[in-house]
Amino acid sequence: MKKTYLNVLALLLAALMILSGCSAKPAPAPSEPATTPAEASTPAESTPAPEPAESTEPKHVEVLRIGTTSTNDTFNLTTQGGSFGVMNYNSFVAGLFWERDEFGKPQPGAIKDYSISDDNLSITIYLPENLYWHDGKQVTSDDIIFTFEYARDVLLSSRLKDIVLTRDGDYQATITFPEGDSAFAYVNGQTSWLKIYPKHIWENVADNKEYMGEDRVIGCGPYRFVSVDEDAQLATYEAVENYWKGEILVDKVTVKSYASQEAQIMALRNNEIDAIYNYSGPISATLFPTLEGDPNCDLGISPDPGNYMIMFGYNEAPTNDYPFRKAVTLALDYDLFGQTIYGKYYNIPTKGVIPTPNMGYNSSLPEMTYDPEAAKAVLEEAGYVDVDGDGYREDPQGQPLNVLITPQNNKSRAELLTRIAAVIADNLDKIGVKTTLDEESLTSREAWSARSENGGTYQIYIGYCTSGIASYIGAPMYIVNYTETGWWGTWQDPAYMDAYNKVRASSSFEEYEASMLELQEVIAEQLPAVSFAFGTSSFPYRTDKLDGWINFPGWGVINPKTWYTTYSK
Amino acid sequence: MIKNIWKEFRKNRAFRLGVILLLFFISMAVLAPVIAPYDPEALLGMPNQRPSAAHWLGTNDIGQDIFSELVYGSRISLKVGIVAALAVTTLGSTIGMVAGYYKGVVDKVFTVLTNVAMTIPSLPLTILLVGFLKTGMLGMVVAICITAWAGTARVVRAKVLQIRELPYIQIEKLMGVSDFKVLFKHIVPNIADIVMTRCALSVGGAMMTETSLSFLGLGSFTQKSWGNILHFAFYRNGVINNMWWWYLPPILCISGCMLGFVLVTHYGRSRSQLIKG
Amino acid sequence: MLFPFRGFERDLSMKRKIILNRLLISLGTIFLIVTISFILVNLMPGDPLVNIMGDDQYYRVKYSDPELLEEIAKKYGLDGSLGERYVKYLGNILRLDFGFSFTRNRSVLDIVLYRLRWTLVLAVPATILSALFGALLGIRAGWYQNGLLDRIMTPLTLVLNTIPTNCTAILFLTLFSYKLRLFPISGMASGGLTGGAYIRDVMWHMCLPLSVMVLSRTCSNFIHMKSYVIQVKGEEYILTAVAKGVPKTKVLFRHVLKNALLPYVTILCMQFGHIVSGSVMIEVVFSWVGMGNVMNTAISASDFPIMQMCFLLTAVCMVVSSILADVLYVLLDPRIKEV
Repeated sequence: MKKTYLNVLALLLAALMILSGCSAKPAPAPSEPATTPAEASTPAESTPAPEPAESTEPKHVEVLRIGTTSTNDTFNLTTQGGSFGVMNYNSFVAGLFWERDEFGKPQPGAIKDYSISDDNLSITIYLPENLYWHDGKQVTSDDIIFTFEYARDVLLSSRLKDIVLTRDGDYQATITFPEGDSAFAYVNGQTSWLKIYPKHIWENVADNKEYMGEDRVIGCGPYRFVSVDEDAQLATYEAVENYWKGEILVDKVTVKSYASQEAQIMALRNNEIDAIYNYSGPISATLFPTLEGDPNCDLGISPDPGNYMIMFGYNEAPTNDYPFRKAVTLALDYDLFGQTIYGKYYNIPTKGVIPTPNMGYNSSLPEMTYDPEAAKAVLEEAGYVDVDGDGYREDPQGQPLNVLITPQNNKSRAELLTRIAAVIADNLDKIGVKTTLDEESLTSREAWSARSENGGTYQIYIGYCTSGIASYIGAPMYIVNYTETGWWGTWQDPAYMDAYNKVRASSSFEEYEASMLELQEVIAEQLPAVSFAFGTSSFPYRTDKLDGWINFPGWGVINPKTWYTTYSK
Repeated sequence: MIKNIWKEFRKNRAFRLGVILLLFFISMAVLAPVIAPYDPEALLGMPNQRPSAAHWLGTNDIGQDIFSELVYGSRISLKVGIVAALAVTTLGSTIGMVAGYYKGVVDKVFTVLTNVAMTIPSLPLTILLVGFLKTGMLGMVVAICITAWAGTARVVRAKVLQIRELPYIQIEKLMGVSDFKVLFKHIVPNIADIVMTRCALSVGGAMMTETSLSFLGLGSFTQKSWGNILHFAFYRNGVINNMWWWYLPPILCISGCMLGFVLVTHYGRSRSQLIKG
Repeated sequence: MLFPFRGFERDLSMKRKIILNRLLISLGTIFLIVTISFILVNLMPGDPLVNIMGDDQYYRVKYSDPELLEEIAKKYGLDGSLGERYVKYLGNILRLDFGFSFTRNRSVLDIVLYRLRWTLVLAVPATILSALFGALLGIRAGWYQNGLLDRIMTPLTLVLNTIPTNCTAILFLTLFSYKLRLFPISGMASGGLTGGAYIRDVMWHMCLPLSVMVLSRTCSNFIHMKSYVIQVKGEEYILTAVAKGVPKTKVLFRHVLKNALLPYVTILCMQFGHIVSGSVMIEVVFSWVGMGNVMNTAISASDFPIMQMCFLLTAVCMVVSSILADVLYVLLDPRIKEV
C-alpha cells in the first residue's frame, strides 16, 4: 500500500520540479503596479516631436522590436494580409509610390518624384537610378507599367479600367486617366497602399494570392525580409545597405504579433517590445491604467483623424426629419461618449463631424452641446409628444415611435459599439424616445449588409471612420448616397453632392481644403451625421532606450519616417 | 415525494447546501426588482468606480451598477438554463421512452442516433452550430438542444427497458390497453424521478454552455447574463486592470448556481443509481 | 478450466463480429457527419458562396467584380445541382481538399493541421498527467473510502468541477501572470530561440494553460476512478478474497485495479477524442493559437471552410476514439456479451 502512496508523492514531486524548472526563467523585473489613473501627462493635442538635433552623430538602433496584432502568416507583396501587409503601409519591405507625412500629405515613397499634369488627368512618375529590388535587379519604368497593368488585369482594380500607360524612358512613366477623373484624388487615395511590383517575379503568376514562391516577399523598400518563426509569431527584417533615400538608422526590425491588445501592452511594459503598431487599431482607452505611471512608457497619444459617429437614415422616418435629428444631437452626452471611447483624452466634437487633425478641418463651426431640456423642447415643437401616456413620445401622426439603433458589424469593435449603443439608448430614453438595439445587425453580417448597404433602411447607424479613410475623404464618404464610393450613405442633398463632387475632383490641396470646408458647412446645417467625440489614438512606445520618435496623428510612432529618425540614446 | 425530499433535506448535508444555494439564486431572480438598487441598463454617471456604499460592486465601463447587473443577470442565466434544459429533457426523454418502450427497429435506430450524438463533442459543436445558426439566445438554445439530448435519452431508455418488463405492465398490454395510456399512466410516473434529476443536471450544463458561449461573444449582446457580464469584464479590460469586483462576482454566481444543481441531484443519485452518462 | 477451448473460439468470433459491427457503425457515423456539414453550409439562406468566401471577401468581390464571383462559384462546383455539388464535395473530402481560406489566404488543410499540432502539444501532456493524477488519487480515495484523502478530495473536485474552465483560466491568468508575473500572459513562444532553450521557453509558456487543463481533467478522472474502485471493491469475489485472508495489497493490485482500470481506460480513450477541440476556452484566454482558437476566430470572421474542417476533424476524432474505446473494451473484458 505504501508503494502507491510513494508513487503519488514521487509524481507530485516530479510535477513540482517541472513547474519550478519552467519558472526558472528570469521573471520580468517588477515595475510600478497599475495605480489609479494619474493626471494626464501628455496633452491631448501633442504636436509631433521635433527631429533630433543633427549636431552629434545619431547612434544606430541595433534592433527595433515592434508588436502588432496582425498575424505573421501572410507574406505576399501583392496582398494586404497579415502583419507583413500592414507594415508595408510604412514604406517597409514594399516600395510605395506615395507615403504620408505627419501632416497627412502625400510624399514620394520609393520613387524620386512625381508630377500631376495641369489638366489633373495624368501622373508622371520619376524613378531614382539607384533603386534595386532585394534580389539585386534594378527597378525600372517597366516595373511601373507592369504594376498598373497587374493592378488592372489581375487585381481587378475598377478605378484603373480605362487608363493609358506610357513609358517615357528607363526611369520615367506616365499614367493617364480618362476624362472626368482626378489624378490628384487618385494619388491622395492611394497614398500608403499602392506598391511597386517586381515584373520579373509576378508577370507569370496568375493567382497572386495562392502563389507560394520564396520570392513573393521581394520588394524595393528600405527593409528586406529575413525570416519568420511562425510558432513564436516573430518576423525578422534587416535594413538594405546604401538605400538611395539616405542613412537608415534602424539596422534590424522584428515584428512580433500578439493575440490581443492586453498581451501587447504587457509585452511593452515587460520590455519585450519597443513600440506598438496596429493598423487602424489604436490601444483601447480601458488599457491606459496599465501603463500610466510607468516612466519608461509613453501612451503615444495623438489626435485621431478618424472617429465614431452616428449616421442618420434618410430612407426612414423619423430620422429623415430635421427636428428629430436635431433633438438627438442635443440629447447625446458627449462627455460620457468621450470617456467611454477615449478615456480622458478627447474633445467635444463640432457640428462639422470631421475631426481636428484632418486636412480641411473647419474650425469655425460650433461645438456640440448636451442639453436634454432643449432636445425635449425641439421634439415638442415638432409634434413628437407622448399621446398615450406610456412615458414615450409618439411621432407627429400619433403613431408609436421606436427608433432602431444599428451598430456597424465589426467583431473587433463589437464590445465598444454595443457600449456606445447602450449610452445612446439611455440618452434618448431620458428625452422620452424609445429605442431598440438592432442586435441582428450586430451579430449577423448578412442582416447588417441588408440593413446598411445600397439604400440602407437603418435609422440611427453607429459607424466608424478609420484614420486611413479620413486621410483622403473621411466621414463625408459614409454619409453620402453615392454608390460609386460608399455603400452606407443615404443622403442626397444637392448642395452636399455638389461639395462632395468638388472634393473628389479637386486637383490640389487648396481646392481639396476649400471644398472640405464647404462640405462641413452643409453637414452642420442639416445634421445628417454627428460625431461622438473628437478623440485621440494611442500607440504606446518605450522611451528608455530609443529616441527620435515622430508620432503621426492617428498612426503612431511606427511610420515611414521611423527608419530614418529613431536612434539609440 | 415531498416527504422524501424533506427527509433527504434533514439527513443529507450536501443536498441541504444544494437546496439553499438554489433557493438563494432563484429568489434573487424572482425578487430582482426589489433587491437591485438600480436599473441595470441605466447609466449612473461615473464609469469604472470601485465598490462603495452607493455601488456595492462598483460600476462598469459605462457607469452601470454591477450589483444590479448581477442580480438581473440571474434572471437571464436561469431562464436560458431552464428553457434549454426543458427542451433538452423533453426531447431526450421522449426519444428514450419511445426507444425503450417499442424496442425492436425503433430502438435500434434511436440507439444508433444516440450513439452518434454522444460521439460528437458538445461544446465545440455547440460553438460551431451557433456560428452557423447565427448568434443570439434562440440559436444558443437550439444548439444546446441539438448537442445535449443524448445523455438523457440513453438513461431514460435504460430505465424504460426495465420498467416495461414489470408484470403489471405486461398484463395491461395483454389486456389491450393502448400504448399511449400505458406510457402515461405507468411509465411516466416511474421515470419522473430520473427525468427530474437529469433536468436539474441539464440546467446546470446549459448554464455552463451559455457562460462559455457568451464569454466568446456568441451569446446575446442585449441580454445581460452572467456570461455576458464576464465577457465585457474580460474584453473591456476589467481583468487586466484587476477590477475583481467586476469579473469575480459573475464567476462566483455561475459556480455557485452550478454547484447547487449538482448537489441537488445527489438526492436523485441516492434514490436511483441510474444516472450516468 | 474457465474457458473450454471450443467455447473460447466461439467467443473470439463473436468479439470479431461485434468489432466489425462497431466499425461499420462508425463509418456510417462519419458519413453522416460529413453530410451534416454539407447541409449546414449549403442549405443556409443566401448564396453559399458567402459562407465559403466569408462575407467580407464576398461583398468586396461582388461590389468590384461580379463576374469573378461566377468563376469562383464554378471552381467550387456551385453551378451544378444540389446532388452534383454533394458528389463533388464528397470527392474533395476524399482527396483531403478542404478548400481555400479567403480570410487567411491559405489552404484550409495547412492552417488547421498546423494549429492542430499546437493543440496536441498542450493536450497530450494534459491527458497523460491528468490520467495519472486522477488514477492515483482516485484509487486511494476509493480504497480508503471516507479516509482523509477522500474527505478532502471529493468535495474539492465537486466544487472545482462546477467552475467553468474559462473562469478558472481567468483566475489563473490574473493571479500568476498579472499579479505575480511568474508566467507570460499569452502566446506559445518568445521567438529567436533554438534547441533546449526553445523547449524550455515553450514549456514556460504552456505552464498555465496546462495546469488549468490538468486541474479540470484530474477532477473528473478522480471522480470516475473513485467510483470504479468502490464498485469493484463491493463485488463478491473481492469480498471472498479478503475473507480468505489474501493480503490487502495483493487484492488491490491483482483484482481491484485490474478490473477498475478497464472502464478507466475506456474513459481516457473517449477523452482523447475531446483533446482536439476540448481546449477552446483555455486557448482563447491564454491566446494559445491551436485548433480551438482557430475555430473561434473562424466563427468571428465567418470563415466557413475552416469551420467546416474543424467540425469534421473534431467529429472524426471523437468517432475514432470511441471506436478505440469500444474495441479495447471488447478485447479486454471477458464478460462482454452482445449489446
